Formats: sequence, structure tokens, C-alpha cells
Amino acid sequence: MTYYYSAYGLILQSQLLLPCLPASVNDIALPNQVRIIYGSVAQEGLDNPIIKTVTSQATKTQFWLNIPAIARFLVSDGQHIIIDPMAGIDEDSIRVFLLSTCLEILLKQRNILILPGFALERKGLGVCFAGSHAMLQGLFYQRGYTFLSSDVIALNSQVLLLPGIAQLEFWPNVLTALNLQRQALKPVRPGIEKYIIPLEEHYYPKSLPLKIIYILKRHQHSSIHFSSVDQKDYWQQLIATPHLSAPLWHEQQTEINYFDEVEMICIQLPQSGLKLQELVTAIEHDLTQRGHCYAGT
Amino acid sequence: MPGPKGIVWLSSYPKSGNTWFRILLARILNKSTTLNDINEMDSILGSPMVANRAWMNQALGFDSQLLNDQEVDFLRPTAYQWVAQQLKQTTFIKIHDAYTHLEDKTPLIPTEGCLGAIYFIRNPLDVAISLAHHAKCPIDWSIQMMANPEFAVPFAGKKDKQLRQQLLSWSLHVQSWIANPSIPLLVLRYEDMFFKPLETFSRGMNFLNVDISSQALQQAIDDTSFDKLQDHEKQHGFKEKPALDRPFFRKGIVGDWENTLTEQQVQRVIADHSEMMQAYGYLDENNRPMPN
Repeated sequence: MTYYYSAYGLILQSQLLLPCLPASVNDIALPNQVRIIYGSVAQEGLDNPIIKTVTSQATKTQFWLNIPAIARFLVSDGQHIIIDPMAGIDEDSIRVFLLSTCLEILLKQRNILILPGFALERKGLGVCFAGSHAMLQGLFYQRGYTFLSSDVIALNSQVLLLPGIAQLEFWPNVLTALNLQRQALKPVRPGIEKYIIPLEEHYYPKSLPLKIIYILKRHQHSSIHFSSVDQKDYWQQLIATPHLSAPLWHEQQTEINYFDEVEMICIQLPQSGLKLQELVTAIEHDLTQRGHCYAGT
Repeated sequence: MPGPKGIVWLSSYPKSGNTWFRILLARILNKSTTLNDINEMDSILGSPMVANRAWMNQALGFDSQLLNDQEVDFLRPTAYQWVAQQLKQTTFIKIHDAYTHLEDKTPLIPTEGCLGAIYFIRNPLDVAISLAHHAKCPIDWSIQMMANPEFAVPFAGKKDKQLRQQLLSWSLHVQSWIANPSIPLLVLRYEDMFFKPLETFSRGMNFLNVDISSQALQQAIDDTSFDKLQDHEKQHGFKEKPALDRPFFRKGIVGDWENTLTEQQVQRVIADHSEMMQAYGYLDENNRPMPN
């Protein structure tokens, strides 16, 4: 059985069910297709890898990942992913690594810029937040925003934000803080207390021009402060943010891109006493002041 | 100590002087004439704390939070061997885990690539107070945890930053490290670092093959005095502090238990840990606390 999905501007033709992605039909030209199949992946890894970690290896065109007791994966040429599952492993455990590390590496192989963070739609433009800010994501979700992506920001060479996986994933402490009941939610994989919230109507399925990148920093003052910053001062820092497959990215992501049409805004946060609802309101106010008025829900 | 490439583990139960030693060591290795920015010590020593999740993620190449604790533990020995193979010099890594073994008997800390370990021990009567403050919990809680053979950190909600670390009880933690014959080990008592700093830190530096004169070591000790570290934290912050509203460097004294613990709490700690407390000079043969 083969399933068709769309994500990151690609058509994924997959032998593994991927219910967190929007279904698609197979009507896109070949270069935009990715095949995900079950098959055999070498136990020893790649020939002459240029990068090695404990569980992964990479050449310029291939990425090998070995998650003990779960699966081996081979990601090639930005077009193919082979899954070699270990005996008895469940599909959720395979899916979670396929849709995170493997898919991100595949995007890198296609020269799509990947940053840790999440992306929202706002009046037909893309707004993204660099870094891992689960509570902030949750609050935007509760205020009715639509998301292009929730874990990584994917940006193509036309400075378009690409829509990714149509779900949020939260740990119990975040769910509790957001007053969301975890009993009704499915974990990302058995034994891991990270839970899935399908985005459904909160998902924005089309690419959007990136307009604003917000970066959050702590400062010594007691108030929230917004300031435009020079991209050059922050790109290196964004790319260096510890994240999935970081060593591979460092090696491969040597060219740093600057985007003239993109505003980079630093949000300076107080060291203590920050109320996140106030922060979200302040961000909405900042967006309004910058002329990207959001209609709200 | 054998050759210069590899890992030296700086091991302790939490709140036992490990950070103090690391700051002093970083001050010496950096050959600075002033107190270093203590937030930079990881880069001087070569590594953050071993439980740092971001560090582990880089070694693995994926997000270790997608694995359960047992699956991560299974990868940890291989990860440390891999890290050791990448090193070009001695790296000093802080660890709070007890020296445990996986189900297949593989030690969590492999001997390959390991140059040795310093184990920092502190009177558990004082650890109980400091741990309670660090965890923002009552002292009775910390006493109970220190007696729990399955005690592990971090607590729920903080696993994004750190891997699960099995501390075990305070006594089992001490035993796990000192009874391990496969790694060259030096034990340093917090109380000796406090009352006999030159002599005690000299032993540490000798073990690490760090060549330093007594005068220079005394200067480093003076530069990293508790008062100076407190001032430094007030001015520049400290990334290892437990919460935004409380400092890491709190009192830094020896024998606080005499004024803080109830008699009942003292007796509970003694009952739980008398054997190891006697072995390291915290109790006399009649299980009475020794004077400092």
C-alpha cells in the first residue's frame, strides 16, 4: 500500500502511514516527489562518511541513522528514505524519527534552510519564532492562530515558509500549564510522555512569504522590550542553536543567508516574573504596530 | 594519571563541592589572573555536565527526548566512548549519576577513554539542607530522597534540559564510585576543601597532573572564595543555578546542620547512612557526629 501526503512543498509517497500530514494526490512533477519505502539499510553505515556521530553518518548526498531497537534509516539525494525497522517495533516509534530527524535532513539535502522554531500565518504573511518555545506555541494555538510548522522553520530559496507537520507536540508540564487534558491525547510513541495535538483547522497548508522572525532573549530589566536587530548579528546564533542533528547541520549549513525583506525582531524578556499571556498580547500588539493586523478569532 | 587525551570524571552527589572545584580548575587551566566568568567554565574544562541533553543530542545526532530513559542509558556508554575518541586533550566532565551498570552489565561509564575520576563527598547532614534549598523542597523531603535507593533527577518538567540521572541513595552513590576498581579514583571531602584548601586542592591537582606552584594555587583559591563567587553570581548570574529566584552559591559553610536540622532529622540521616558516614569521618564509632 502506498499513501500520498504533502509537506514542505513536497509530495511524500510513503509505504508508512503518516496521519499527521495532509493527504495528497500523486500529481506533482517528479523533482518534488519523495519516496519513503521499507527496505534494507546497511548495519555498518555509509562508505567514507564525512560526518559521524554515535548513531548517524553522512556524506554530501546520504544520511544514515541507526536508532537501536527501533530502525535504521537511509536518506538519499533529498528524494528517498529507506526504513529498515527492527523486529517487533511499532509504527509510531518509526514515524517519530522519520518525521523529525530524517525529514529534516532530507530537506537539507534539498537546500532548504531549517531552523529550530515554529511558524504562524498572519494576514497572508509568515511570522516565525526561533527556538523551542512550547508554551508560546500553545498560547498562540489557544488564541486561534494557524500554524505552518511547529518544530522547525523550513525556508526555501524564495524566502517562502514551507508548511510542515500538522500537529503540535507537548510535554505534560506544558499541557498542564495550558489546561489541556492529556488523557484524550496520543503520545508521540509508546512510553514517551510527549503528546500530540492535531492542528486540523489550525494548520495552514500553503507556503507563505516570511515577514518577521522573532528571537526571544532574557535581559536585566523588568519589562518586555521589542527591538529590530541586524540579521548578521543573529543568523550564526540561530543556526548554532543546539537542536536535532546539530553537528550535521553545522557542517552542511556553511552558507548563511540574509533576507532583505525579512524583519528580525529581538524580544527581550525580564529575568523573572514573566507572564506568558502578557507576552503573547505584547507580540500581537507589536505585529499590529508593524502593520500586520490580525483579525483574530 | 595516564595520557592526556580522554575524560576525567568529576563526580559527586549534588551539592557536594563539585562546582566549586570545577570553577577553581577552570581558573587554573585558563591561566587567568582574575576570576573567570564562571559561565564560561564548560568551554575551559572541555564539556558541559554529562547529563546535558543538548550535548548528548549532538553526540547522537537526534533528539534523545524521543527515547525513554532506558533507551538513552543504553546509548550513553557508546556516546562517552565516542566523545573520548574525538578529544584532543583532557576533558573534565561533571557527573552526578551513581556508577551504575546497564541490564547487560555494561558500566554506564566506560573505562575506554576514561583517565580517572575525582569523587567529591560532603557530610550528608549538610547535603540534606543544601539539596532541599536547591530543589525548593522541605528538608524532610531531601532526607527522604537521600535514603531512596531509586532516587533520580531531574524531576518531571525539567527533562528537556537534562537526561535522567540515577543518583540512588546518598550511601549507595558513594559506594558505587569508591567500590569501582576499574577507574583511578581520588576522593576529596568538601570539608577538607573548606578547612584545608591548599592541601586538599593540591591533592586534586596532583591527581590531575596539573602543574601549579603553591603560590599560584593559593591565589586561585583566594580568587574563587565563596564570597567572590557569590558576588560574581550577583553581578553576572550563573547558568547552573536552580531557579531564577534563588542563588546557586547560598551559604557555602560547613556544619550548617547543627543550627538547621532538628534532632530527629539528624538521627534519620545517621540511621540511613551511618556506615558511609563513619568511613569518611563524619561519625565516630558510636555514631555520634564528629566535630568539624
